[in-house]
Amino acid sequence: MSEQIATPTFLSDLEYGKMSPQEKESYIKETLKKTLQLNPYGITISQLKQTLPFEKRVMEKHLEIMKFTNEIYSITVGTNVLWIPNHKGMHEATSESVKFGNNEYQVYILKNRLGDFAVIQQKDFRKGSQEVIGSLQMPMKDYDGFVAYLRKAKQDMERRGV
Amino acid sequence: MKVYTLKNGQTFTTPSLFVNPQHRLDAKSLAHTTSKSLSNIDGLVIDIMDYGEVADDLGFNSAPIVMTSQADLRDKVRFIDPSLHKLLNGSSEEKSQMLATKLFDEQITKSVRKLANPDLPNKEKPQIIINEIYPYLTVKPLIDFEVRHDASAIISPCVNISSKTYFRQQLSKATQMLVDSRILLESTDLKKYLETRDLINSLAINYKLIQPQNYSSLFKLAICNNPDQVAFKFLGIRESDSVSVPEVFAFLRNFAVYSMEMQERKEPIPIHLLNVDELGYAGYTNAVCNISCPLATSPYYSYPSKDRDEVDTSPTYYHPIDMNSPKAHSIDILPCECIECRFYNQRMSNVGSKNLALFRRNHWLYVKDGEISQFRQSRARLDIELRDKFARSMRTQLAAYLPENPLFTIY
Repeated sequence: MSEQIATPTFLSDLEYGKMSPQEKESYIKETLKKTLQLNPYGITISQLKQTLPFEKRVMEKHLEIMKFTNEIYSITVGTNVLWIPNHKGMHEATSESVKFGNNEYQVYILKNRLGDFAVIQQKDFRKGSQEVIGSLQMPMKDYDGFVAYLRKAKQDMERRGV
Repeated sequence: MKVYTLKNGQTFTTPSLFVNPQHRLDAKSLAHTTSKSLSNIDGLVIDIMDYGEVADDLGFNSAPIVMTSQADLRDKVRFIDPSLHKLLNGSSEEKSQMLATKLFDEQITKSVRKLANPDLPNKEKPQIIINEIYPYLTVKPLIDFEVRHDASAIISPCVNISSKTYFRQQLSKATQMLVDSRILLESTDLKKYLETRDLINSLAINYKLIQPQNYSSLFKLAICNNPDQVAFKFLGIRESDSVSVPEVFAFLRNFAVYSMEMQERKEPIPIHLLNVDELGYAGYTNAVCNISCPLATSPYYSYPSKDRDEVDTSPTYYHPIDMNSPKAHSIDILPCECIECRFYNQRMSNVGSKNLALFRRNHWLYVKDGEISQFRQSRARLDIELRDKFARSMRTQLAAYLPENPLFTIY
């Protein structure tokens, strides 16, 4: 697992050093995301540590966040955890999205080595159309059941006058 | 005519002319003339150091009282040019104005003040710039300024390329700044502007460096961060230099072809030629789609020489037929039919010294608006129209800069 991985161009040290902590967080997340996208077969945290100029702890935190929002997933190979991007296997289920307040929701179909899934992504469109802040993933075969459950939940709420 | 649509939805139509207001009076004049008629001037290029002075009068700091129309300055394309060459190689007044923007590190302020010392030998200045200013020069504050003031596109801040001796160092810093601009736009909170703002690389290059052996390096620099548009400002150029001017236009034509090949485009990347006068019109037949001109003033800095005690800075009047700018006091009957000249019954004596500053600016804007309208509406091919116009003027030398068989004339 020591082979070279593809990386995006990095910001100069001068510019990076002048950034606020919040901007640095945003930059690290984007750089990680781009690095993962450039390596569609997955990369380990050791490879990332060797290649990217960021702390391992910080990168692990961002990887966990991206896993939570279903932008990436992980599989265990022996003693290594391989982080794999979902971007290539994810396609819009419908070209339309719905907007409530500052949030935009859209359904995607995801196919990766773990199976076929439906993904509902929540994006904050104030931060740009790419900023995913939440996500729900379920096996494709369970999607109808999930929608039926939502309908039933709605009926129960109406019955209780909520 | 071709209409370019920016990512934010604003448009400009080639051949296009943007105005570069540098003074409060320029802004007042623009506000005055735009409210009447200035439909052929599609945009403004404002240097970052002048923004504070002109913004109020251009109406940028206030919301419109009535519904905006195309005649509103707020709706015209607005570029804010970081113009770093004015900080690094400008006059002491320009350096002070740049520092007054407070967009630069404290170390830069100290080093720029050191540069202003008249006892400092000229050969030491580039070393101070490279060793003491470059390490502190960042792009983020300048881009933030542009975004904060609602610029129609983001112009990547970039150091000027002006020295043969330090060409490599300048090129390296410029590349780094341009690449950093792109990464910031893709990877930080600026990302929300990626789809709504064009990225423009604006390069200030000394005309002496426009040599075929430098083409490759300069071309690569100009598109190193995959910009949407490119702007060039050629420092030190003289219209009368019949060797250098054709070289500059050859450079632009070659760059247009290069951009098509490297970016796999079907047409050249939009090229802006900044800080020119009527010389820029010849650019329209040399792959330039838009020029920017300072308002009723020469874009070329007059260096005081030993032969002349002082540079004559008395007001000038743009002659619409001769296309030159004689001194205002040398004219009596105004050879122009614009709104402003008619208001004063086409007599300079009716203008009065109090109104002269605003009058000559208003007149210049109306005439430029008319010239662009003439180019756009002409039934003849643009190079032929330009050749005719130059031939009738006192600047026939400009016709020599129009190619015999132009590849990039806008039909």
